[in-house]
Amino acid sequence: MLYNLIILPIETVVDWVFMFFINRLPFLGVIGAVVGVSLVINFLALPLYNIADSLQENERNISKKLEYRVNRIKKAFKGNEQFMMLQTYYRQNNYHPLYALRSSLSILIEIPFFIAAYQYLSHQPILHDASFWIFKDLGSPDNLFSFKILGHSLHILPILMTLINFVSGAIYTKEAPFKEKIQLYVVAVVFLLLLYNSPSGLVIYWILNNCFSLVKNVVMKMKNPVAILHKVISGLLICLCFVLAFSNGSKSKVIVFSIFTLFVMFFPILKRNLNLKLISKFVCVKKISKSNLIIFLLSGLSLGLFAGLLFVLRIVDLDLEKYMIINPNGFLRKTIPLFLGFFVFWPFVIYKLFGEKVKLVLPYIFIMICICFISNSLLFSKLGESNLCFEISKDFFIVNAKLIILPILIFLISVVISFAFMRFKKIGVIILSAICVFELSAGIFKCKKLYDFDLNENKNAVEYFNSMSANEYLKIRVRSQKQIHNFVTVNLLPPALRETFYENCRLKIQEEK
Amino acid sequence: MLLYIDPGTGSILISLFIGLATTAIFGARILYSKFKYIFTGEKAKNLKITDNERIVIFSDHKRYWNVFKPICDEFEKRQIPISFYTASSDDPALETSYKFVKTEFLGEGNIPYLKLNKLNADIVLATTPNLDVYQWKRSKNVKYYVHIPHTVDDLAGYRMFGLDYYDAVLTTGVNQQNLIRKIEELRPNIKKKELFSVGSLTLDNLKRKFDSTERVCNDKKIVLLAPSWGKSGILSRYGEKLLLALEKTNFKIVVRPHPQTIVSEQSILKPLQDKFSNIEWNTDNDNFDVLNKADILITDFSGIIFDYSLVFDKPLIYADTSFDTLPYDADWLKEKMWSLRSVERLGIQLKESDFDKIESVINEALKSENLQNARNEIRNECWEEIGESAVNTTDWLIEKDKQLIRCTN
Repeated sequence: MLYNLIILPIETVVDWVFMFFINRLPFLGVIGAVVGVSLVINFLALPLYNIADSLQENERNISKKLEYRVNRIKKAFKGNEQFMMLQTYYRQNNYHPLYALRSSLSILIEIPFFIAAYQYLSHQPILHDASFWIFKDLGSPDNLFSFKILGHSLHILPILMTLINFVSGAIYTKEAPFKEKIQLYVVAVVFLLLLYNSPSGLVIYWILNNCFSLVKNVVMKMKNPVAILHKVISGLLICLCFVLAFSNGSKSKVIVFSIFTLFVMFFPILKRNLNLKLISKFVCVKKISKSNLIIFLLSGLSLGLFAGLLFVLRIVDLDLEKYMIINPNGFLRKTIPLFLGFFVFWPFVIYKLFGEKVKLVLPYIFIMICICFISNSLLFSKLGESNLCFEISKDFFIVNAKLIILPILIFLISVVISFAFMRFKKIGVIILSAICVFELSAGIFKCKKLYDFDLNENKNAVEYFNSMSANEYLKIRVRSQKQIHNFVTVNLLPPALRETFYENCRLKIQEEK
Repeated sequence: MLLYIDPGTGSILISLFIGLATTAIFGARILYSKFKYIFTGEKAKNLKITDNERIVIFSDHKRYWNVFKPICDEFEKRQIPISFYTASSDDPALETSYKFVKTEFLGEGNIPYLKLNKLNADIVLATTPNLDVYQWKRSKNVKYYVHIPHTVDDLAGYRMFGLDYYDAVLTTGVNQQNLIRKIEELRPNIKKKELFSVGSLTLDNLKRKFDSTERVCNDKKIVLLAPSWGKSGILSRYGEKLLLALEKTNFKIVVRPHPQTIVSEQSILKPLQDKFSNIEWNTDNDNFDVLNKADILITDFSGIIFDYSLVFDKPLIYADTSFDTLPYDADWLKEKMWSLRSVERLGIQLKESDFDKIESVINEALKSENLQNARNEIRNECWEEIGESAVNTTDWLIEKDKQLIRCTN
C-alpha cells in the first residue's frame, strides 16, 4: 500500500509523459519517449534536489561548528556520562542527532522518483518491440560485443554508464573529503553490478539521468544557474510548440500549449513583481499557523477521497457488467492510495520542504482545485457510453454555452469560497471535514452495493471480450498498462478470465499479422 | 526492491544510513536511560514530596555539612522553617535536634534525584554541580535553584556545564564571578545567572575554629602531604618517590589522602599505606586538626590549598603536576585556571628533580615574605565578607523567597 501511496503517483506521471510522447510525437520514436521522460522527471525533481542540497549544507555547517567540542567531550568522558554531556551540549546548541537525518531525509524524497521510472520502464512492453540505432531490442540487455567465451556477450551500455558516473562523481566531489570520493566510486561500481543485466532502454534512461546530473553540477558552479535553467526550459517548450503545431493534433491544444509556453517565458518578470507585499494584500499573512496546514491537508484529503473512491466507483457503476467487479477492494486498494498520494502525501511533502510563499499560497490553490473538481464532476456526470478504452464518443463534446460558462462560474465561486475558508478557518475546517466524512460514507455505501453483484449471472462480459477486434485488444493492452484506469480493466478480471483474455489477445494479433 | 541513484545522491544515501544508525543508537540510549529511571523509580514510589516547601537545602555528601551547618543554625536562630535533605545516611545533620530545620535522608545513589526531580519548593540550595546535566534534573515545581560553592577557587574545575542550569550562585569572591561570566559567554542559550557575594562558609567556619584554638608551636616541623584525587593527583603520579624523599628529611610527615581517593582509588592507596607504615595517614572526617598542626603543606591542585593558605596563613609547596583540563569547564577557556595561577603565587613549586633536596625547599618556603604578601592579595580576591557568610546567605535566601512569592502573587 505504501508503494501505491508514494510511488504510484509518480509512475502515473511517468506513464502520462511516456504515452504523450509515443502518441503525439511518434516521429521521435520510442527512444525519444525515453529521453522525454528522463528530462521531465529530472526537471520535476529539480526543486526537490535543490532543497535537499541546501538542507544538507546547513547540516554540514552545523556539525562542523560543533565538531571540535563533541570530540573533546568524547575524549573526556565515557559511557553514560559521555552520553549525558553530549546531550547537554546538543541541547545548548539547539541540535539533535536526529537533525543529521535532515540532510539524508531529503534524499528519501528523490528515491521514489527513480523507483517509479525504473518500475515503469522495466515492465514496459513497448520497449520490447522497439529498436534504436545499434540496439536492436530496447527491452533486453544490449549484447553488443559477443565474445564467444562461454557463450557470453559483453554489455556495453552499463559500462558506459559507469564511466559517466565516474566523471560526474569526480566533478561532484572535487572539494569533498577523501571518504566521500571513495564512497562515490564504490556506489558507481555497485550500480554497474545492479544494472548489468537490465533492459538497454532502462540503462539508456539511466545514462540520460546521469548526464543530466553532470550538466546540472556543471551549471550549478556557473554564475547564474537559475537564469540558464529558465532559458533552457523556455527553449525546449518553444520547440515543442512548433512540433505540436506541425503534427496533426487538435488546434485548441496547440493554442493552450503556446499560452503555457508564453507564461513560462515571462514567469521571471511576473515573479519579480509578485513579491510578498503584493501577496499580503490579498492573503492574510499572519503567522503561518497549524490551521493553515490542516485546511490544506483536509482539502487534499477530500480531493483524494473523491477521486480515488467516489469517482472511480461512479465509473464502475455506469456499466457494472462490463467491469465484472466482484470485489471493489481489488481496485480501491490501488486507487485510494494513488490519489491520496497525489493530493495529500506529495503536497504535504512539498508544503513541509518549501518556504513561506509556498506555504501561504498552496492552501488557497488546493481549496480551489477541490471545489472545481468536485463540482465539475458532479455537474458533468453524463459521460455517455464508454468502453474499456475510455474513448468517449466524439459527439459528446458539442460545444455549447453550458460547457463553457459553467466551468468558469464554478471557478469564480471556488475562488470566493477559498478566500472565505482561509479567512474563517474554523468554518473551513468544519465544512471540509464534513465533506470528507460524507465522501467516506457514500463510498462505503456504494461498495456494499457492489458486493451484492453476482458475477455468475453475467455471461455478457465474456462474450463482450470475445467479440473485440485485435486493434481494440492492443489498445487496451497498451493503454491499460499503468494508467489510472488500469485497475478497472484487465488487471482486475478474475485470474482465470484474465489469462483467457491475454491468450485471445495474442492469438488475434498473430492472426491479423 | 533496488534503489538506483546517481553517484551524487548515492553517497548521500550512505550518509543517510550512517545518520539513521546513529540516530537509532542515540534514541535507543535515551529510551534505555528512561527505562532505567522508571525501574529505579519503583523504589521511590512510596515517598512523595507534595507540599510546597519554601527553602530546601540538598547535600549530596556528609562532607558538606560544614557548609550547611552555619546556614541551618542561622535559620534555626531566626525560627524560620526550612528542609534539609541529604544523600548520606550518616550525615551529621541527621543527628541534630533542630526545631525549625527538618532533616531527612533521601537515599543513596540515584534515589535522591528521583525525589528531587519532582520536588515542590521555592528555592533549592546545593553545592552539587551539573544540575540538569546528569541524573539530577530541574524540577518543574521548583522556582529557583541556587548554587553555593564549598571552595574559594574559581569553579573552573567543575565538570563541563557545571553551573549552566542554576539560576543563581552565591559566590565567595570576585574570582568566581569573573569566571562564571566568562563561561556564560561561551555557552549559547544559557540564562545569565544572578551572582551575589556572600563570602565563604567553609573558610568562615575554619576561621572561627582557628580563632578559638590555641596556637601550636612544634619543635619538629610537621610537613603535611594532602593531594587531590584522580589521575593528576600526587599519589597517582609519584606517590612512592615523594614519600621516600620525605621520609629521609628531619621533618615529621603526615599524609592526608582526599576522601574520594579513599572511595575510588584504593588500588593506589593501600600499597603505599603498607609500605610507609611509619608515616601518619590521616583520615579524619574533619581536616582541621591536621591543618592546624602542620607547618607547611605539600599538595597539588586541591581545594585544601586555600583552606590552608588563607585561614592558617602558612606557606605551601605545590608539586609540579600538569593538570588535564579535558573534562572541566576550564577546557573551554584559553587562559590558565585561576586556581593554578594563584597556587603559583601562594607557594613554591616542587619539581621531581628537587625531590632529593626537598628539605631545603621546605625551609625556604617557611621563611618567605613574598608568599605572605601573595596570601593577602589572594585572600582579597576570593574571600569577601569574612565572617559574615552565614548571615549573608540566610538574608539573601529569605529575601529571594519573598521576591519569588511576590512574583507569583
